[in-house]
Amino acid sequence: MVKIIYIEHDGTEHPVDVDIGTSIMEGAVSNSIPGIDADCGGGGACATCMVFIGDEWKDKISSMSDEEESMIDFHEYKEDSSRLGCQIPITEEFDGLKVRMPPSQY
Amino acid sequence: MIKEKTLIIGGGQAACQTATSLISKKYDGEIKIFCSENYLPYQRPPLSKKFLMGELDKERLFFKPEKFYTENEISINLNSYVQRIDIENKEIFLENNKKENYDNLVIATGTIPRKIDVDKKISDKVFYLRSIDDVLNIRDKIKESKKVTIIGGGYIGLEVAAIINNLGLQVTIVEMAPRILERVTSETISSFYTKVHRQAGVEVLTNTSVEGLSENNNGIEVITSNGGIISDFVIVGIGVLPCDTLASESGIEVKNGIIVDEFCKTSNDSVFSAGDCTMHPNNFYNKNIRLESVHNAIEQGKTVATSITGEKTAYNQVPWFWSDQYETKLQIVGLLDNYDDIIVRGDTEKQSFAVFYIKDNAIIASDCVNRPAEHMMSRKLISGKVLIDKNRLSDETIPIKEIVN
Ligand SMILES: Cc1cc2nc3c(=O)[nH]c(=O)nc-3n(C[C@H](O)[C@H](O)[C@H](O)COP(=O)(O)OP(=O)(O)OC[C@H]3O[C@@H](n4cnc5c(N)ncnc54)[C@H](O)[C@@H]3O)c2cc1C
Ligand code: FES
Repeated sequence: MVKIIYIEHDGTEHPVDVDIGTSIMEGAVSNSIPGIDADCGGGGACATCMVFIGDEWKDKISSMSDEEESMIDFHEYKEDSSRLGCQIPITEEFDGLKVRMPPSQY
Repeated sequence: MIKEKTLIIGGGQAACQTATSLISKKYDGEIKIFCSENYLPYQRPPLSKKFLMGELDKERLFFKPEKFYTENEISINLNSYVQRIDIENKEIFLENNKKENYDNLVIATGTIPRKIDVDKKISDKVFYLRSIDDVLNIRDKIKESKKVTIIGGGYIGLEVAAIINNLGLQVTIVEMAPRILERVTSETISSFYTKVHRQAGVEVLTNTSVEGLSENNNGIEVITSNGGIISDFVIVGIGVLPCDTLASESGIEVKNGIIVDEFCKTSNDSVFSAGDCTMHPNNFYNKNIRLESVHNAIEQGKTVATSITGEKTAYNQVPWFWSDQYETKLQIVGLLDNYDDIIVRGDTEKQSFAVFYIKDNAIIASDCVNRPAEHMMSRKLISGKVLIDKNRLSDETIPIKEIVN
């Protein structure tokens, strides 16, 4: 388990314990945190699990595939720090990770 | 004050979405879910993908953990089959003469696999794939088998073929039609996937109809119009039927699914329906359709919630779907409805291409293989009914984002 802090667009913080090996998307969904829809359930097919992750975490996080980048490119609220939450498996190194969420996934 | 009461029959994608949307809209009525299965609501797509492969624990299929239901005071009743609805008195009937009254009723009963006649003696060698339990049984069977026959070359059959082939078994697909996926897609996509499966070592038999199944010393024999096929077990994936008899027997209108309007209301004002079991209007294609997709179940679930809270937001969606086989991710958007042209962008040999279906110079659907950008762009162009230049669409020197100038 690691502690991850999910931050809604309005600033509401949700610090929760998340299992290693699951994904950033699953950590939010299984803790009923609003802000991530995950329509395809982690299939990398829907882009409704987009989150923002600060630069300081860049080197600890698996890099982005071309497919992920293309999906994000069409997201209404994309930013430079956008990732698809379902494509990032949680490791020990993520303890204390802050994940911001967009105002909407559509 | 007595609270309003909403009952939901079924515990799949559409049922769970309805409940979740009601909660996020701060619905102050009582919510009760009745589901005949014995698992918390779960997602089905991984059943023929990662879950069959053994790469996901079943807990990871659940949409929400148990505490979500308790914290939000949703009463979730598993193993609870609803037998009858009395729309006059607004009551549903469960086993052991239990009944529950409602103000709003949501029918989200989904579909069941179409069955074939099987003799009792061999029924332990014939499988369908719809539920967690089905997959657990199939996984056990895979461990003791070398060869499997899959009847039906639809998306589920093909995904299952890919996984079982990856697990090292010899797989034969038997399809009655002249090509796999005939009912749902174009020749281009059918022949692409036929090739992908054959290259992986799967035997794909088309124009082959099944005449019966029989016992065989070496397992089970599928008797077809082109001879017998012997294997250790058989998986049948020949389509599904909407679970609409509960509705029809209570006097609600059905026709290949429960008929609903754009607010997901049935012919009865207090009864709504969502998901695979509905026959519903689609504005983009101007016709009534029944869909078997996650996207539709989610969007209709949301629509039902707005109908119950009084917001009333009409369902207005371009359908989309996906399928994973081997290293290919197929993303589909729109309906292949009387298209007058097909444009291919990319290279089928490289397993990276998009097929656009065109009608009156607008894209009405696309099938994108390992082409997420083309898929996302198609969604925009279809819902915006944007006119396109077909030459630009196939020209890969123009980035897909700049396809409309
Ligand atoms: C193997 C497989 C792979 C799939 N892959 C994809 C995919 O890649 N992409 C995609 O978009 N879609 C896919 N689908 C389709 C998708 O899963 C369905 O569209 C979706 O599950 C529909 O949700 P639903 O709630 O309408 O129905 P369901 O999920 O079928 O849920 C209905 C529930 O109602 C219960 N029920 C029925 N009758 C009663 C009753 N009388 N009383 C109480 N309970 C009852 C059933 O037991 C069931 O639990 C797949 C489906 C399967 C089976
Ligand atoms: S959940 Fe669909 S892309 Fe992440």
